[in-house]
Amino acid sequence: MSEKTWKELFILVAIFGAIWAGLSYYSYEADVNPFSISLENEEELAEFLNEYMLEDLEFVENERLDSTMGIIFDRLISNMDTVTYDYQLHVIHDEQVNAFTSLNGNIYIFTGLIETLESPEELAVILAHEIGHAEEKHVVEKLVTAIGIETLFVIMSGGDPVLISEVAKLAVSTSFDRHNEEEADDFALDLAVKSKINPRRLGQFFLKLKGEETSFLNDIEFIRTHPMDNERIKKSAEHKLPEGFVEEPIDVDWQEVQEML
Amino acid sequence: MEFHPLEQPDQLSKKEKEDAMGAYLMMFAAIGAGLPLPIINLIASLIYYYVQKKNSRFVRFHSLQSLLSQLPTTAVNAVAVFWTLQVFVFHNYEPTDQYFGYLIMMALVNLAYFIFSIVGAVKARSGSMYYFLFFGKFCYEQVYKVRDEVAPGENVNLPPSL
Repeated sequence: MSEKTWKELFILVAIFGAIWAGLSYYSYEADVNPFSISLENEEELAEFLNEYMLEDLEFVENERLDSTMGIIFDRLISNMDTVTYDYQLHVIHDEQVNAFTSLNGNIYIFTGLIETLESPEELAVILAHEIGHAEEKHVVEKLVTAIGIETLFVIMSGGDPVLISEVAKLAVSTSFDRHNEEEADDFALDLAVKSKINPRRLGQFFLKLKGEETSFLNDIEFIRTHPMDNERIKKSAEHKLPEGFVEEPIDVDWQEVQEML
Repeated sequence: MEFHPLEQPDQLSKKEKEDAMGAYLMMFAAIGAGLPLPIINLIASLIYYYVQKKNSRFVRFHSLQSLLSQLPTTAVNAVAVFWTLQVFVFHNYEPTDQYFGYLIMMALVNLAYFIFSIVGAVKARSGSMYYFLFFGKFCYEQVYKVRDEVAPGENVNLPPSL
């Protein structure tokens, strides 16, 4: 091929490369996510849900526990690049081994989970996973996919307690699809590394649950609501650690925490 | 580099002009058949090119240009189909800005291809050459270049060296 032909090939490739790059530069985000609702609206919804949950569940009210949880939580929050919500952690008195995220940064953990865990770092990676669900807006997405944004607001503004309680159940039934779980895992693994917590702990926790699932007849909610497969454990095990990574223990007396419940 | 002389419109038969035009036009029919996997049109134009291979250089030029300019278009479309499946069916990738940018670029590529092909077909029908960017030059070189041919009288078949 002559030099001119090469030149024209180069021009052709450059034109389309430039068009692609130029078009990619524009952010399509706003048009892409039909699930986005404003933070104010989400806050409103969250209030309804919390009221409903207060009626049905028994929360652990213990200031010392709250401040201890705050220490674990702060480690994560302080290492996030952007924090969308003012996160609230609620501990629910229940034997279930589970944790879930609701709207507007409300995260709920059951005492059964805290009793199963062996260290504050383990709790931290699970919280990081739940924060991942919140930051990626999985709950809102789930609600809106299930009943549609208009219906959601009609129900919420109508204030009918029967309907609202159903919406609330939908919001807290924590089963996300595999894709969402993976997104939350990725978020948790990254956040764990940034917060100097060994990300392997997430896989460790999954493995432990899997072991218990086969050895007991216990109904472990976390597995039912967080579909789990070996892929996710593998991902945690293979997550790249920066060179010279050393876990920085969280300064919390874990045994004391468990006694507080 | 030496090139064969270009045929002028008055030196071309009506059949040659129509065959050259057909190279561009048949693909539009084939593209419809090839969706969503854009491969059938490629096979069709490949066959068309080989059928026309014995035809005059003018026809060969146009069918080669039509065939080659289709390759990147097909590749771009195939990537778009694959990417879309990955995003919306298998959920392996996110619908990123790059993805939407790519889809728009794909639409532009197809539009450009469509327009150039129509113009190419019209020009071919009137017996004119029409050079696409890059493809025009490349195909001209391929079709019109004088290749070293065996001179008459020269022995082609030789005994093996014993």
